[in-house]
Amino acid sequence: MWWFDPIHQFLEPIVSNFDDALDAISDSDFVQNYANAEITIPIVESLHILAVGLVVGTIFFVDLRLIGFFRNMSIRRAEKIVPYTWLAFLLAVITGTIFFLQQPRMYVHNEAFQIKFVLLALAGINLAVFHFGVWRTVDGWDDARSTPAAAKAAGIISALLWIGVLFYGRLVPFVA
Amino acid sequence: MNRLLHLHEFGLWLNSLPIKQQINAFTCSTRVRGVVCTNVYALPIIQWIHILGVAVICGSVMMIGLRMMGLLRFSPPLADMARRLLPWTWLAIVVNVITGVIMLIDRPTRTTDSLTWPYSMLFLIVATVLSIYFAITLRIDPQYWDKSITRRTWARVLGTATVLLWIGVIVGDRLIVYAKGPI
Repeated sequence: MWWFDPIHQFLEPIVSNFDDALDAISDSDFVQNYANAEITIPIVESLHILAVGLVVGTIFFVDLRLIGFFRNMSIRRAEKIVPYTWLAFLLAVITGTIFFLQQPRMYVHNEAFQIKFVLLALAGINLAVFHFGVWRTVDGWDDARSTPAAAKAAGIISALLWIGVLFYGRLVPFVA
Repeated sequence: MNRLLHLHEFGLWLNSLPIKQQINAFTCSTRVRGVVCTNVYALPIIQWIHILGVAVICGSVMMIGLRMMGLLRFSPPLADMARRLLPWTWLAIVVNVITGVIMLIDRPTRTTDSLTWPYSMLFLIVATVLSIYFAITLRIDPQYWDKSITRRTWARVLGTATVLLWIGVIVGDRLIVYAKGPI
């Protein structure tokens, strides 16, 4: 990925210094115990895909509402799905951490994984900008009215970022 | 189940299809003699589209199921949810069947010998039929599932079934690579 190479070269010496510490994590008894249990990975992978599906699936439909779809559905009502999204996100983080601890060195050096987390961070920033920005005026554009440009932009950016997170997440084992 | 449905033979038959060679050449998953493989991104992109479909299913029909179970803190009218969300479900099912068939033919026996795959396909059929049933009843009468106590009970039962079936489809397919059959 040509556009990521400069960033990668910048990160490489920084992350390399952590390698020994990362190996210590994957060599620890705790991680070894669950990693050696045959049942762990299938279960954790199943839960991770379910959690990811719920996170991205619910976010996607809220994004569509922000962009201007489903306009006769109150946006405050659509927004009530968000606590469930956070719950699923928590499950995705827990299951993801279980993967990560098994081979932290591989993940930290994996370009797809690095991009995935850059995109996740951008999605978080986008959410914060939206929440402390145009969301404050939601009462003015709820219910059947056209959503403001800032809300449309937040929806489009969020949808694209999450689609990207899924892509680079899927790419991780291919570039490992 | 696999033996009953002769799935191993089905996998061998898929293996012998000429289209398998073309898909292999496209996805680069197995080296085909004389074909130079250039699209290293083909397989991850197919899998990515498949996961996008899974996400859409989680956000649409599973939310309708959770709403029918009464598990959501809020309850938008069921007919509204169905009318807006189910078209996305149909699209996701079609896209995932297409991408799924490509992945199946790419490496047939890995899937057909798996112990979980036949069940997840069974769940998929039942879940799709149930979803179509919801769509039809709610189109005929938006209040269909709220009309009587019996109907409301059935809504809970079928909503629960929908959610569990879709979880079964997703988990069953995720486990294909782990649940290898005895063959």
